[in-house]
Amino acid sequence: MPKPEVTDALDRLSSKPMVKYGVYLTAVVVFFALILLPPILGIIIKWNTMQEVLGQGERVFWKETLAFIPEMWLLIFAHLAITYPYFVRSVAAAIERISFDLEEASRTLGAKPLVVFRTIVLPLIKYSVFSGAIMVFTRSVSETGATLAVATTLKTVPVVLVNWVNPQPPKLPATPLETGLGCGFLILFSFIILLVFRVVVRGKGRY
Amino acid sequence: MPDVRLVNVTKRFGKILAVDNVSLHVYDKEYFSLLGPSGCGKTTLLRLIAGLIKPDEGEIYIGDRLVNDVPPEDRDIGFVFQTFALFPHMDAWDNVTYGPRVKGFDMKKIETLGHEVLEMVRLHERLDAFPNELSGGMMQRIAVARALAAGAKLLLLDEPLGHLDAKVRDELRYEIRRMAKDLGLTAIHVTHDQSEAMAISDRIAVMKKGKVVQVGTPYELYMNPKNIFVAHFIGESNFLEGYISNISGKEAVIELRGGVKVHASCEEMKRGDRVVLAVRPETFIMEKGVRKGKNALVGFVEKVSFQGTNIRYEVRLENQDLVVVVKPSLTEEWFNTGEKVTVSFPSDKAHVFSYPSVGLKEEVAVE
Repeated sequence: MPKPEVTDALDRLSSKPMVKYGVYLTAVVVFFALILLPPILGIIIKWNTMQEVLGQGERVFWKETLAFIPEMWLLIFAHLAITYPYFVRSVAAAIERISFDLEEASRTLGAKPLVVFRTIVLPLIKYSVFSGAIMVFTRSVSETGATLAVATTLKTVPVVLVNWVNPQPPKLPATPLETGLGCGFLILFSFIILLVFRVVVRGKGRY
Repeated sequence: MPDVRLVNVTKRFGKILAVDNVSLHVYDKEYFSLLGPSGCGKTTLLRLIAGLIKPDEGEIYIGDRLVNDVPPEDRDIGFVFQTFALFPHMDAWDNVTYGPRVKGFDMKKIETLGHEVLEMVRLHERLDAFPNELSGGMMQRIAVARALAAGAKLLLLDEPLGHLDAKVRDELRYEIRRMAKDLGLTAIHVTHDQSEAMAISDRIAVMKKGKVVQVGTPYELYMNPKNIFVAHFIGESNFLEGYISNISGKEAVIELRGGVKVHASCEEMKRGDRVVLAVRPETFIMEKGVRKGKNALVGFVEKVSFQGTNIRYEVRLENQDLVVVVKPSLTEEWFNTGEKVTVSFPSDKAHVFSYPSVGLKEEVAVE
């Protein structure tokens, strides 16, 4: 005779609402697309110079081979690829915590899958979405490597600050006052963003 | 008004056969229970009726409508979960009115329905409480109210009392039945607790390993179990193994272990058949000392347990079989441990079953 837990687990697995599958599937597809798209395009475009491509790494993949993609988009893609896991980890953990029973209860009460997502899943993962957003923001704002790899003209604030402190010759370094003001601006900006997130996240918070 | 019909319904999970060719008819306005041990497929069957899973084979009708491909939100059902499944981000009022809201009822109707059902479960004063501020009993009453609010005529309850304290459970089971009856609902209640099923059901289906082994009123199941499993699962039974040594008409003489002969009514048996005799503990007549008579078995009291209403004796017979005898504790004479006694039973109160091919222990196993 089968163990009841096995039956229960299979039972629940087979009834797993499409909503969750949808979220997982989207996450996985977008994540891999972001990571794989530039190298794959790079390989297709510069197949005959594979050695060169591999030899020069990310720089060649992105900056030179993908010149037809606007730099702003490249920059956004790069930051998305780097910060996406932080967001997914945070939200996936929240989705895992939602009991199947809640979604099933909602269905039996007359809610279509999208209504279940809007009225049950989304409100319950709301706080994790915000906390994921905070992590993404902090990770992105401190990211200089990926920015330098994909962008030639565009610069993010940390890159600008690095350039001020340690510029390419013959440019002279910025004065300590200028650098300090730049850092101060960045700190202030980060503080405001985090404060806004915190206010939003607080909400009613009764569960 | 919905009756529920299952026709040859089968559900597999990989190689595991969870529901095995089940056919059932739950009548309109009936309070029906699916009873069986853990893993017997009763919850799966309920989830099939609710549409939370789909059958591999067979047909499910709610009223006259074939619902195999109808999603749960369109089946017009109320479902109560063992875990309550109240939405933690909504207060009691929002939980209860969730069904009418997602179904797009107008605000006035939602207000009326919400107040009506909260009144019915006597939790009107807690309508702004969040689930984590309510006790288990209150949560389950809100869950029942939520299931009723959308106006469903079919109420499905998946072990609704499983997570509650014994006293609350006893009160709430009658309350749920009363509400279902007052509203004229058809209710299907899943439980592994036979006393709960016996107390509240119009009819019960006993399930084992994915099959329905007997359907009947609580009285029928208790008085006329069709097989050893039902005799064991509904109430308590003593099983004595033996052979049919003689048979005349509907009464057979059964030779038990140690050569003791007893009489019992039986059908479709023949001389020499290996059988199991089932006798309810409260059927035994117990007397002090050694007595002669029909179906008299001599032994001594091995253990006495006081259970409040009843007193329970374990009597070791001379042939080393152990029988349990239950007597009312306040109106009958008590026996002491070690005392020599004679237990007997009326022939028409015992049930004779063929010895199961898988063995008695395996046949009555509940895990």
